[in-house]
Amino acid sequence: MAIPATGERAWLEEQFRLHHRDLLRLARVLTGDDALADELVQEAFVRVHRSLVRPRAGAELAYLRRTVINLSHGHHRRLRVARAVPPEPERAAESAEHDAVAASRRRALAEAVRSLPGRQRDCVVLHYYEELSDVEIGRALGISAGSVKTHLHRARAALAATLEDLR
Amino acid sequence: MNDALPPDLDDELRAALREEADRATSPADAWARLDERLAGDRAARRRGTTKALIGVAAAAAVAAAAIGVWQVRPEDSLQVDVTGDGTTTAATTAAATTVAPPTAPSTTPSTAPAPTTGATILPTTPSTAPAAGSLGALVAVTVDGRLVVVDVASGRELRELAALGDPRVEPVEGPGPNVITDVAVTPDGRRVFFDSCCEPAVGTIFEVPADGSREAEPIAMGTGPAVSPDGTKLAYTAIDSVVVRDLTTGEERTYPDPRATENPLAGQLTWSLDGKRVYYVHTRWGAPTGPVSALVELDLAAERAPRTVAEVTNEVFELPLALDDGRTVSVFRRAVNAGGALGAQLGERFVDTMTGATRDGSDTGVADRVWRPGGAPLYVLEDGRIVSGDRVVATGYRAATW
Repeated sequence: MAIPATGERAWLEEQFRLHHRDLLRLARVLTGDDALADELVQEAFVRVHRSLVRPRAGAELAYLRRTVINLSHGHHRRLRVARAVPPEPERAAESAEHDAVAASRRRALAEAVRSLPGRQRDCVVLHYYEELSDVEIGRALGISAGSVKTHLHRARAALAATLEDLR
Repeated sequence: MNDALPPDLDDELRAALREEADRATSPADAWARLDERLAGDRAARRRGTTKALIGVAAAAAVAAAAIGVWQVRPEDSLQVDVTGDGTTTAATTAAATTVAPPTAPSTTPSTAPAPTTGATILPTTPSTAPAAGSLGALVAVTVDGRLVVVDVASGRELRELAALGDPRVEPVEGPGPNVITDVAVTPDGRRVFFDSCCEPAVGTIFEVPADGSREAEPIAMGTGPAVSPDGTKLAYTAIDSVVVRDLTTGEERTYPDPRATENPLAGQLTWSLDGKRVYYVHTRWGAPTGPVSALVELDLAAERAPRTVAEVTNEVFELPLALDDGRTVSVFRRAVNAGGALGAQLGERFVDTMTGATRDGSDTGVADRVWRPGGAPLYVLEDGRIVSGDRVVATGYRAATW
């Protein structure tokens, strides 16, 4: 399982080529910030490089995804206070010509997802964005499918309350 | 699955998150920056030996402490330099010397208390302990996280085998340093296995020759390495499974544990004397009544799921040790506080794995313990002392084996 003396860089480059875009999109959903998303994904590849042991063949994306999610928890801890401040509607104007209200609402919804407690946020993102099953989410996060259901249930309740406030 | 939600929220959520992902912009220089960073990592490994890195991290820690900021991050801390150029080498079992040749018997294990500091109580030797006899050296983990060989007679460090990170250094944020949590040695004393827990997603198992002739080499992803009594197999946990590796052929067999789908396994393995079964602790957190901790038996020959041998609620088992009567496993119990944090060690429990009968001992204050057939029991106490029988072998450690 050890990375061989030759091919380490090539292996990482291949993983980067295959998964960087998907991981960046996931990180963007988790953080809502391009620069931070880029930083998290870079750090995930660095961690894999430093681990000196390759994930099983076929499990690379799952491993990197889990690392990005774990790293995002640190980011959310940092931003917990900042999150108390409502997000700036920086791009609302861009969507105004189509459906400003709906766009603003979706943006607020995405922000509400990011404000959920860690595991609830992970489950919502993996379920609604990555379209994973409860079992797959459980495997990715190291929790049971039953726990995934519980987290999703609680997250939905919180998000419904948020939506109600937005009406 | 639309409970508690307006019917259209599922679709709205998907759309919102997709839109958010679509806003991601991929910097054109992303790979170039990463490649540069990785090259820097490799160069750092080439420049520094493990000892040099220890010095840097220790100096950084001291400096940070001096200015009241204790924030040595994982990337600042120690890494095993595998070959000096950031790559790994092939494994070998041919170490030039052994670290622990059998020697004349040493002090007879005793129930007499060792010199104590604070409330630590010297564990009594279980009635099933093997005959006295010690080995010349042991492998131990220092309180600052280094893996070293210690001379039993003098208590002095003979050599350092690896160092990953100081568990006392708390990062300001994010995961802590990779620290050595479990260590195992083959009965011939030649091969040492240890884990670094638990980044980026799970721990890494390393192997290093006990004579220090080569750098540590990562061999698998997992935690809690434990060598079988005959030295032919290595068991460790890998999230939801126990993995058993044939140390001769390298072949592995994976034994999934359904318990671990919710709360992953976390090492703490012990082999039965005949090498046919592996025992380990699994703790399920989050139950309304508090955590439920189980001592689990994995019969390697049986085609059935691992079975629970004993269980406690609202406290946790730790440090399982299979005794050499072939049927008793000793575990320690630890209290869990109201907030879910681990509390004081409550005492030792002996579990008859055939009948499920238990009896309790009163010893506490144990951080690690092990013995091997023909050797004397070895305890590492929570105050850092390594104790064998009534003798304090060395101080300043948090794990050891021989």
